[in-house]
Amino acid sequence: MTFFIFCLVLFSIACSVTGQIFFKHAMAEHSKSSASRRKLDLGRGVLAMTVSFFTWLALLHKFDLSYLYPFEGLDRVLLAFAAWLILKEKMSRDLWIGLILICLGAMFVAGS
Amino acid sequence: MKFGLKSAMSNAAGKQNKSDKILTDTVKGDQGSRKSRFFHPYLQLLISIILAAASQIFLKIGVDTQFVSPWYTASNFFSFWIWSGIFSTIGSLFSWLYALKSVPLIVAYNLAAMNHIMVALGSWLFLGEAISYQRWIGILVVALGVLFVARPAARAEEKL
Repeated sequence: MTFFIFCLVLFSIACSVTGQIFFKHAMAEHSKSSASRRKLDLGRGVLAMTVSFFTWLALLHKFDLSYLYPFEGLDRVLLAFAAWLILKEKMSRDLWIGLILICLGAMFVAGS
Repeated sequence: MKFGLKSAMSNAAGKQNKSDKILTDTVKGDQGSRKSRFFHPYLQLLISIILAAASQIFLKIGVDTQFVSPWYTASNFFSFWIWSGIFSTIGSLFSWLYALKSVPLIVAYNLAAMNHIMVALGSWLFLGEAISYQRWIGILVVALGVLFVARPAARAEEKL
């Protein structure tokens, strides 16, 4: 796996995580955001998901599914990173263990 | 001893009665109860996980068999397998959101670790991909890691 391909995988996963968060904001039951804001969030979510989907298809065209899918686990790493960056969340011990395991597993798969 | 046996027997009889009742209830069960069983949150969660894994496999089949080289070729937009994949993804998303109304996020996130195992098994069984030992180990390690981060990831997701 070249660096470029790895960036593409990461890009696809990041878009999918972003899309999920936008969807959540658009559909949350108890939220104060206005209807127009919700529509905007929904649109952004769909856009992010679409970009992620086409990148993923392009990647699937070139690689085995069993090779690509484990990298999907990196979405948790991105989520934790975003929470740390945006929410200033503390990293718990379980989180560290999990993140290291996911990265380790992804490296194993990348080398296979 | 005898007493014990007797009470056990009566207990069993009681259970028998109870199970009979459940059985008749099931038989009698109207549309409503069958519907409610289908909408059981954990069943929906299971459906969501299976659909998510299936959608990946459909997409891979579609890309492998029905994809023509320049991506904007018209037939690419009518590929049966790719559309199956898209609809499975949407179905999976909806049953996931439905299940999350009553299943705690942490349980759902723990179960989502199964996705990695199921996609690997699926691509081995249905796509005939050769998965080396190293790749299996990597997949299992990733799944284990996903289990570990379930709680913090669920918390982060709630807040973001």
